[in-house]
Amino acid sequence: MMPDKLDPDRLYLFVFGPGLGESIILRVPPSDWIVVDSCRIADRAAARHILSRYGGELSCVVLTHPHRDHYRKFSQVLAEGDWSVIGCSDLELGDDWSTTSENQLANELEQIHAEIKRHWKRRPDCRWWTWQDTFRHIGQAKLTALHPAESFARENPEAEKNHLSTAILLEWRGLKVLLGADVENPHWETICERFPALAQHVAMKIAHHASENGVYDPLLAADGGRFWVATPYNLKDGLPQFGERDGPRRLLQGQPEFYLTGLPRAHDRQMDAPCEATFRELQEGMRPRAVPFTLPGGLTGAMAPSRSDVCCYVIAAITPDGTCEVVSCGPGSVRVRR
Amino acid sequence: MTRLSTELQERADTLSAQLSSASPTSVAIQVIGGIGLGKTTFLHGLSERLAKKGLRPIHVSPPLRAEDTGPAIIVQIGDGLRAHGLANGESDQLRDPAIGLEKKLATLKKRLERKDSEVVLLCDEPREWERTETENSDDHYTQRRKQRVLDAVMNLSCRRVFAGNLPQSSQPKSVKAYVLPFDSVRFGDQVMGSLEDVAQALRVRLNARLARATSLERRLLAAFAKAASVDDAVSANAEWPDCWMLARRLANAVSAHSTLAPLREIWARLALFRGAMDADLLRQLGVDQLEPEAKVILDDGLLQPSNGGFLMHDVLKRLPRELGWHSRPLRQSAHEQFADYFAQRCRTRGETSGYAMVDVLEGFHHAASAGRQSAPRDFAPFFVEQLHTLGRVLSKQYGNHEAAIQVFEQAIRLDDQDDYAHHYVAYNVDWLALDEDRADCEYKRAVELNKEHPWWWSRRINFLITTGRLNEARQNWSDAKGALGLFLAEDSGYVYRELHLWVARLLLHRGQLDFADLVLASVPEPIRRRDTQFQALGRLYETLREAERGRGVFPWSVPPDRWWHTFPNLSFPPEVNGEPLMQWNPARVEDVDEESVWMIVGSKAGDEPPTYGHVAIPRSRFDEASLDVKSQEIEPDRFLELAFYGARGELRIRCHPVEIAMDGELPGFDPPNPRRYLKQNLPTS
Repeated sequence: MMPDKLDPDRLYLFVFGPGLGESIILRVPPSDWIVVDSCRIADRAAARHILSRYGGELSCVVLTHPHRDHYRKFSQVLAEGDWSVIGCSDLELGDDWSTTSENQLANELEQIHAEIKRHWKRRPDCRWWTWQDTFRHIGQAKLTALHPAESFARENPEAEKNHLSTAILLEWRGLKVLLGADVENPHWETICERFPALAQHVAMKIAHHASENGVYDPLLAADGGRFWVATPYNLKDGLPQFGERDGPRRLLQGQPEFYLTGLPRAHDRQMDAPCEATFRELQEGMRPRAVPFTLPGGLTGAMAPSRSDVCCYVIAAITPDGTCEVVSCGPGSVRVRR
Repeated sequence: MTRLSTELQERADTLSAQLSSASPTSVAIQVIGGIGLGKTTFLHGLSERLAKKGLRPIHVSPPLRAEDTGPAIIVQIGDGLRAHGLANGESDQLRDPAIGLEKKLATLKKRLERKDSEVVLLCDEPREWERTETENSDDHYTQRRKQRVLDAVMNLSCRRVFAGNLPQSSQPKSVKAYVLPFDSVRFGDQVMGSLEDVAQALRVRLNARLARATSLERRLLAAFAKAASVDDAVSANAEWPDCWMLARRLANAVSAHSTLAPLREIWARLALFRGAMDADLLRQLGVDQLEPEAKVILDDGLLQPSNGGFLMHDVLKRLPRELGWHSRPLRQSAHEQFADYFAQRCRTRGETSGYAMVDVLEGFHHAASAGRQSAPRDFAPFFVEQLHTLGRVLSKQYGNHEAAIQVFEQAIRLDDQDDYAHHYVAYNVDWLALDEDRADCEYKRAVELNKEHPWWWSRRINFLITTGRLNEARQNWSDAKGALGLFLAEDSGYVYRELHLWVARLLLHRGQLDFADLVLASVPEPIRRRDTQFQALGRLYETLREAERGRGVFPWSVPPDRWWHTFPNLSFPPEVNGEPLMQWNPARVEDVDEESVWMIVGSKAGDEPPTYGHVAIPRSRFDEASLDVKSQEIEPDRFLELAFYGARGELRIRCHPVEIAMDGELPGFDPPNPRRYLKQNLPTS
């Protein structure tokens, strides 16, 4: 269940991730909202469920990179109103015309780019090219882009979009919240060289669905008690994986638990909210169990989720002294323990 | 002298006597008769008799269904007054484009409504004046002005004769009807010229039946007999002997004979000419080089002499367009030729009797239709709506948007209330995507000036969507529905096709499915069901919704109503190794790696909702099962169908083509490139 109202003194972090897509929504005390990326939850942009519920200032919205698991319904978020800051680092569109319904939906990017350009042109003060080292003050918080460096982006326009995605550091009253986007190694190494204290964070949205290259061990090397959350990715064999070198295993070496907003496949404990499971249980597929999808001839797979309610989220609240409390978890989410 | 039948001569004499003796303020006569009965010929005969009685007949026969029908009516009356020596400076006023329409109409009214006025207006086919062709049907501004001219002519207090039906929208207060007899021109009396030989043969074979045909039908029948054969003409007459069908048969016969090809070309060109032709023009078109048989068909079948010139009946003028004879090069060349003809005519007449305004108007029309940017200099327009033709041709046919903007700007300078011109300035600026603010401003102005025009709303809303102003687009959508009274009924089908169709198309393209759903849901269900373009939008919407949910397993080429048929959409063998097809599933490739082809697969059992699963098929098994491409050639988002045979589930796979064309029924985008504004660069820091 979502909280009825928010404590005006706490920093809130809402993370949605239904299987394909993620959206991170932060409320900086007392009333500034920051939205990073967008996904579809119950037929709407995830952020709209939050913004319409609690009200407040539309302070900052950022599109980290133009992958469909990050921009779905982003135009709805932009249309919420006049955002004070709109961040983005990639406004190029390929010329390839869509031939399949999947790619046709990619044309939502046209709308998103048009909306961003429109706002940037009309209100230049809202424009934030999220190049490394650039920052914006959002109420009591400061947002700093950790990646990508403008020079790197210019020199590598054809680079895989994850490598050009915008990782962000939010600082509030001396506390750090790290939003990893889909940045993968080796870029974390260079990011950490440039921003050496990142491991001292209070919360982190783990990069790139806690994939092997999304988790960077030096970021994990600090005291425990931090809030870590990752979103799944349900294409191919899915992310995260639960091998010995994969992200979850290494995260649990850093501290005893972390959260997943969901698993890449529909599972049998969706209503536990959150389902609690150990690494081994997940690794062996014992708890929760994926719902099977069978075809003749011995072909089997896993059922794709088909939820129509507000689900697959984890909400954390952070006090000025650095205490972090998980206040709510939505159906489908998983608390992963050692 | 116009040759009338004996009976018509008597009728013309009677009518001319009535008009002569009547008070000029109280006479309005309607001559009623169907197509091809000879109403126009009768008007010409009447005109000669009126002149002999000392009256001043003015023939008003403007181009029908045209953008400049209203201006042509005024110009023809003005020229008529001048020809009778009744214009004292009025022509200068009528020529001046800066003088408003109301003032021009007042000028004519003052001149025509004098108590001692001897003028008789002979108005030919006035109902056709109020109609529009498809290409200018969206020009409400011109239609409003044309209506104003019609109202003025209908309400004049002077002698008028109307041949044919009266306009539905405006009629004189009291009119005396005069019915032209069906056999007004008996076959025996009809002059058939060089077609007389075939006419005689037809008379022998069809005598009684020919008596029931109109003079136009007889003429067409004789021409058809000349082009094909008397036997064919007799058969045609037996089947469906109306003038449209006979004209079509004649056209087909002309097309079918290679020796008649030059005639077809001349026919197509002449169909673009408006009004009476003279021998000079026909010579310029190469009539003299026609084969004798073709020349006979032209002279006595397609044309009819009238008042020293030649006329082509409206039925024959409309046909080449319907038959697709008007290729763009032919249209271009014909209009160029006619523009030159009128330029020459203006020069020649200017040196002798002073040029006629109607020649300038016609010259402008042809120069504009040819897309000549110099048209306003070569033939000064008298009325703002004349510029519409030029602007639209430059914009739509020649893609010269910069020039079109200049033309519509000129129109706005003449009349700032011209919503059509404001709209087209916006449209062309929008097309070029160079000045967003200007396009915005002009679209807005067009809507302000005419809130009841669905196109103006449609283009403005699409402009707002294109330029990333979804919230404003929503607001405008709501305003449009209010302004257009859209809680309406399917009898306003055009509104849905001009507004909803285009807005929904762009929204679907831009992945705005919720807004698109709102737009489509407000179209009455019968229209969505019957209209093929709305059907296509419905299919697109369903496909995109599935894609949005991440479970699209059918390509465009499989419409939603065939998604879960019993049999696969692709062609599979009915059995494999003697085992029958037991089950099939649609699928889409999500990824391919070294070991497997990853796909999302759909499954549906009975009336249960479909379920979807992620399945990996080892590449070796995929390659063994695929009847099309191998796994090394396959890429993500390729649509597949899986078929399973026998109890063991022997697998076969077929692939939909990579390039799947969009549904041909979908409307396009206008302006065509939704990404046009996205190419503009912004400061990078």
